[in-house]
Amino acid sequence: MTEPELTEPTAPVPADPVLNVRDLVVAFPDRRGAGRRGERRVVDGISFHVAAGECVAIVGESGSGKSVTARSIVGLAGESARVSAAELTVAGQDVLTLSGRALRRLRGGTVGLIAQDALVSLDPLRPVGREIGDTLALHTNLGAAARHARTVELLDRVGLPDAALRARQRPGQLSGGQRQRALIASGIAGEPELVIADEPTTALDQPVQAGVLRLLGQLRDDGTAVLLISHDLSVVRGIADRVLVMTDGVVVEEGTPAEVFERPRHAYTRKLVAAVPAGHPRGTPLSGDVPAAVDPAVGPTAGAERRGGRGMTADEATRPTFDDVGTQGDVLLEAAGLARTFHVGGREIVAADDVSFTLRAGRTLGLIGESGSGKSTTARLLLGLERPDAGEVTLLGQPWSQLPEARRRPRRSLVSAVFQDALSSFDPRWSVGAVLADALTHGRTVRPAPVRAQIAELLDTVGLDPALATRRPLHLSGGQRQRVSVARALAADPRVLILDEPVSALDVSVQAQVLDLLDRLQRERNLAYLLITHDLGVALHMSDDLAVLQEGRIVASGPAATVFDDPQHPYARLLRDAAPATFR
Amino acid sequence: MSGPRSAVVGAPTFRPTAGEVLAGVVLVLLLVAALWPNLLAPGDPLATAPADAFQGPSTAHLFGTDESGRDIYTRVVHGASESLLIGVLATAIGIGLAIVLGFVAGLGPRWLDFGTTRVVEVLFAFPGLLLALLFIVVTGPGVLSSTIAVGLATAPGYARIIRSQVRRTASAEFVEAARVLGRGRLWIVARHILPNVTAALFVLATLGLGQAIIWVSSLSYLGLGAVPPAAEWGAMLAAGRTYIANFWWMTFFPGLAIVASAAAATVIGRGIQKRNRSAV
Repeated sequence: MTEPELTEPTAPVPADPVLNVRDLVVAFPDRRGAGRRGERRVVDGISFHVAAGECVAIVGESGSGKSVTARSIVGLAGESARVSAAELTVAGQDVLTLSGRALRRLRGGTVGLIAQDALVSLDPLRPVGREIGDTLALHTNLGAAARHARTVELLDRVGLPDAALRARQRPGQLSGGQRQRALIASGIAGEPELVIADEPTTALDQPVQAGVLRLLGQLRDDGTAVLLISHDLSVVRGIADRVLVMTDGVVVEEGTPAEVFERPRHAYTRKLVAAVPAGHPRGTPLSGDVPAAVDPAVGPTAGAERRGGRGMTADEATRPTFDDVGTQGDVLLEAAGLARTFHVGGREIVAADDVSFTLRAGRTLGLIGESGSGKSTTARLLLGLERPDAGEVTLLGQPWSQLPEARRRPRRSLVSAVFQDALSSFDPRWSVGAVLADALTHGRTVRPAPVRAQIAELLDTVGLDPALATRRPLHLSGGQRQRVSVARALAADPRVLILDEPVSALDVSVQAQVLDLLDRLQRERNLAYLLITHDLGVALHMSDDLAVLQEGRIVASGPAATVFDDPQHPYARLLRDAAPATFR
Repeated sequence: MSGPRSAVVGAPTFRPTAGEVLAGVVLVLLLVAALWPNLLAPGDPLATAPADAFQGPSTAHLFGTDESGRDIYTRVVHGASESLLIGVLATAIGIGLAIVLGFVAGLGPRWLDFGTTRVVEVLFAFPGLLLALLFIVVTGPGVLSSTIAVGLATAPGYARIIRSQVRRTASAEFVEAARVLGRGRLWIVARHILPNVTAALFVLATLGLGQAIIWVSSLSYLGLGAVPPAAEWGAMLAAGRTYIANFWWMTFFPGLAIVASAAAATVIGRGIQKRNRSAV
């Protein structure tokens, strides 16, 4: 397939852009291979511009070069980086020829930077007001009193309630969203002509995300040029005037969000857009290259119930043999009135309060909510890692949460889990083969040799090369690690899988592959899923039913298709409205 | 298929520094001296020759002779086994005790952790040598009691490190994953916690060996461990003390052996520690 070559930017360069970049190349010395003197071009000849009152977004996955591009603009690409460009000007100044002193004046003055993680970017020991005051002291001639007044005004402008009080607080006393707002306030304190926001919403819950995006939109409407760097297409879509899609250091596509997302011309953009779970109905594969289905050698088609109601793919014809995969819809796990309260430093934190639901064979219940809403506690209650204060979990109609651990242990193979951070869920000393051998033999051995064939089969099932068995998880990519952890979860042949934020650490295309894998495995094995996520798009794509958790309570629940149409609770609507526009 | 984050493949380089090579040579010599002393010094360390007393270093007597004409080189070489054995034993006792304390505190119920930790902290507050002296006062001097004393004195320091390591490993996500897979407590301790803690222990032990050698020598020097004429470095120091103004070699060479072995153990231990951290 031939791709339309992107030769000229689609938008003509205006007479006086705030930021103009032509043929930007950023190269780092290549350290791989001893003695080899070479360079790796992380950014390879990209051109774009941002005019006043315009928001341009660069989207791409990790490693695409988008953040390096942003940092190069303010001379922060790194000491070993070699930056060159035919033109790199900010408000008429050539960044490449500026002295260190002039660059510092540029940063915070002409260009405001908003970094990704406010917790790391703000000094934990200094009140946030001081941070902003410093910027003002550096870039304006205001006196101390005027600076303070301006600080409060800025915090107020970014929507922090009680701005005067907040200015005296330290980052640790603010919530994630408030911190991000404070960071934006310090970014715009010098009244910059250009604001560069590098993943400004990535660490935030969706309702908070929406607020931050609105704020960036306001800045643009006030005439500031905004350069937004993001991996999240739905974020970009709501706010950007123009979008650049970057991969491997080059811009493969440029256009308005409507052009890029609805009529993507380049194969990579198409793949990226298709990988976004939001808006794709349940059961449709997200990744173009769906990994090979189960090897036919694994097992002939058993007397398998075909699932109705969902699109079937050809690979469904083959599925491994299981004595009893049950009928779809069988109740496998039931939670009734779960409650759990933690006492931390004299305060009570209600992590679960009257949480009830059922998990059925072959179906997915999506559990959504913000951080701190009790999602993970619910998962731990179901996994028997935590004992409920009240209520009960029953598994296949028999007691589960009330059992003493010794009696629960023999049945633990029925309920398995996939964790968010795959890497830390593996013993660093174990190879992939050891991890799977342990899971396959119920802990009798970690030597892969006796179960080599089964390990290869498992790895094949999750779409990994069996040769990876000798590697350590540390040396795998994020997607590979998560596949290994899915393989481990499957090894004991469970009926119920608890998926705790299984894809939130992954890039969008890798996320798509893992979601497709989970979907296929569910159909093959009639597994019941509890999918815990903060990402509405993922939840809507994967779930048959949804439950919204807020402060430990289920505030809305029902079939995924209707729970937001007819919300029984205003919070569900709030969550929906806050979500980026893609799937409304 | 895999994400764009390609992992670093291949182990970091393990090229030793010049200091580490030197430390390695010293340790090898020490081991040979401890196991087969006759290879390096065929003579008898206790053989006296009053006619040759107080000879300075020469080709006949590399390190000179002592007040009874015993060859100091031979004695230093033959003393290695005793010094090293006592050092290894003391470290083993210290770490063994610390493993018990550390695991009890790290894995036991809260009250047990509280109790053990407080006891360990009180012991830790004493200078180690004072603790060892106290023990010897109770049990009486001797090689065995000084070894046990040093072991006891070093245990609190190790116990604190082991406890925190145990707690960190026990709360790791992979331990939780093992529980979800239905593994029992003992299984998890044996398969996950112990091996992960042992890796750190190995470094501790190497570092501790150097320290133990110094302490055991100190006790012997004070006359509380091995006593002259035994060819133990600390005891040789003590014997030479009287003559230090006139016959420096009697104290210098045993002292050099103590310093060299302790330094070598420390350099090697640090080297392992450094590489361990960069590798994991």
